[in-house]
Amino acid sequence: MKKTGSEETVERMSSWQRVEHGLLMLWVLLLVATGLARHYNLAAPDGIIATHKLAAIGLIATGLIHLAGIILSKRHKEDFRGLAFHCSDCRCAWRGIANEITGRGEPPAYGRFTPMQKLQYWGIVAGCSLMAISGAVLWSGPNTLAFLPLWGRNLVLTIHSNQAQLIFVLLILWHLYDVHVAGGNFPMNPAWLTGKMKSSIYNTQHRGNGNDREEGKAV
Amino acid sequence: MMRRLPDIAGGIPRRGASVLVLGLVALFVAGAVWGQEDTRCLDCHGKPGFKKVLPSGRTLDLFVEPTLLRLSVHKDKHCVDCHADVNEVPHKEIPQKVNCRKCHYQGNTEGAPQTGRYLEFDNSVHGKALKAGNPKAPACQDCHGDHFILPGSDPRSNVSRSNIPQVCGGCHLQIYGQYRESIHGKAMASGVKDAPVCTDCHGEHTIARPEDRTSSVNPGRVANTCAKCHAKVVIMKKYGINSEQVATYEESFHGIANEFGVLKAANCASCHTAHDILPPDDPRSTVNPKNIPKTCGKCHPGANANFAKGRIHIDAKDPSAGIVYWVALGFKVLTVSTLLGLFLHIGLDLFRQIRTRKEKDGGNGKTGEERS
Repeated sequence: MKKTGSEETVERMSSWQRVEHGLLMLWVLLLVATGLARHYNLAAPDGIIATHKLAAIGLIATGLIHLAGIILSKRHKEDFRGLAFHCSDCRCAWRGIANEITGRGEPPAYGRFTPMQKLQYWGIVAGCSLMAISGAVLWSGPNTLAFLPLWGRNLVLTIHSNQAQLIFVLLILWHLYDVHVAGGNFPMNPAWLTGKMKSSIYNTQHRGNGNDREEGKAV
Repeated sequence: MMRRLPDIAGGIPRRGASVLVLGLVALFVAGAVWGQEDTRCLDCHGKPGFKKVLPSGRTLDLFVEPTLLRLSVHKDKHCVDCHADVNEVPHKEIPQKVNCRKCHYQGNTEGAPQTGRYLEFDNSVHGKALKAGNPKAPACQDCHGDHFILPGSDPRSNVSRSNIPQVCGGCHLQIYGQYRESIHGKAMASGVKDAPVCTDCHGEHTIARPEDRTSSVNPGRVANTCAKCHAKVVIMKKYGINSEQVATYEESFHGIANEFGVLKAANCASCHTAHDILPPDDPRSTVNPKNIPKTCGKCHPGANANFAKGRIHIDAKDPSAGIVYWVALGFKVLTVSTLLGLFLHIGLDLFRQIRTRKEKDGGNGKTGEERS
């Protein structure tokens, strides 16, 4: 724990994780903007599709970098383990909801990652993977029909556009609320920029994380 | 002294009766003059079989059926009103082709319709060809007829909807043959009033080449032209045709590319053809599953049977879309559930924050007012 000015802080994201987060944010925003423009015919398709493809390459590359970080870096590996779901997450989430409604008892002591953060992480991983696979099929255009029936391609297109809407809701709306409003974060949890957050807020939100490296267990 | 006319039973005033009689006399005299003027022409042209062999060898039928002229919209006109260059009988020269513009122009006082169609015609492919001196280019009378001109609303008119295909087919014979065999042509022949004829797609006086950007059959505008009927639920419902075809095309890659000016992108006619459109279950149809690889292969070399395993015009909101519909519905449920979860999360979080703040305030033993 470090002291910055008058406020004690705790390191939440390494500089490499912040770069990854920044890249992910850039690519997702570009993909959402160009995807919406493509879906609703807001601009000429050539430029839009080219930008969409560029952002898609960026997103896949960022995913591979993230994967490499998990494999090569001890800290990233620990963080990744901390994001694994446990049965206790369900119990904890339920207790949290009950506490929020009734106000009785103590709020659950979440670990380094709350069940909601885990859900968002895995939602992003699953969503982006699905988008990358379906996007690659669509990218090949009619060539995919050499091995895929037309209905299969129609299905891939439906998955791609609907998954995009789901990502928009889950990633942009929900995540933005969590970063800027939820749990006393207003006006913003600065971790994505500075890598640090106020220890007072951290200790409230992640009370169960006595040891920063003892992740994943909601106590 | 002039004797006054007696009153007519029924109470018409004497003065009115005088006017009526005078009017009838005037009409009779005018009729006689009209008859006289035209009788001189009809001395020759009223004889059945009256014809002339042109230097080109072509035989020109010069017989005019007087009764037909009197039934036409030009019943009050005399021969020389249109054939204005005839000033002696018999005329030595072959009269020029009638110029309808003599009366048919905006602001005319002849009683002709006040329209700017002449100007539209000048800019059409026919008008331009005529101006360029193409002897095969049609003038007004080639479509509207010469002596038996009737309003388009009259079923006997050359330009009534049901007769238009034959009129256009007079020159465009091959296309007329294709149209007659098409679903549109057959529907029109069987009396379906909604079925399109040539002018519904190509326009009337504004007909332009498909390469012309202003043409209603330009590749960039074909979809809009077809949509005039195929996007109308009322019309399509009558014939059991899905009116979503236009919307699904517009949402497709082809439709979007076309909208943004990529004219090589497929439009309706690229797949369904322009004139010999047939229903998909017809084995001759270009969109029959058996023929789809060939049709798609025009733009996508190597197109195989996979192109036919599914539907091009697919609407994910329609249960007939099968698995696509169910997957889209699943995603919709998931997205709405996620949104509801988000709202619940926000609600609970805000509720907790407010409660925590109140508890803190209570713990301090001060009310908000005391603190301020």
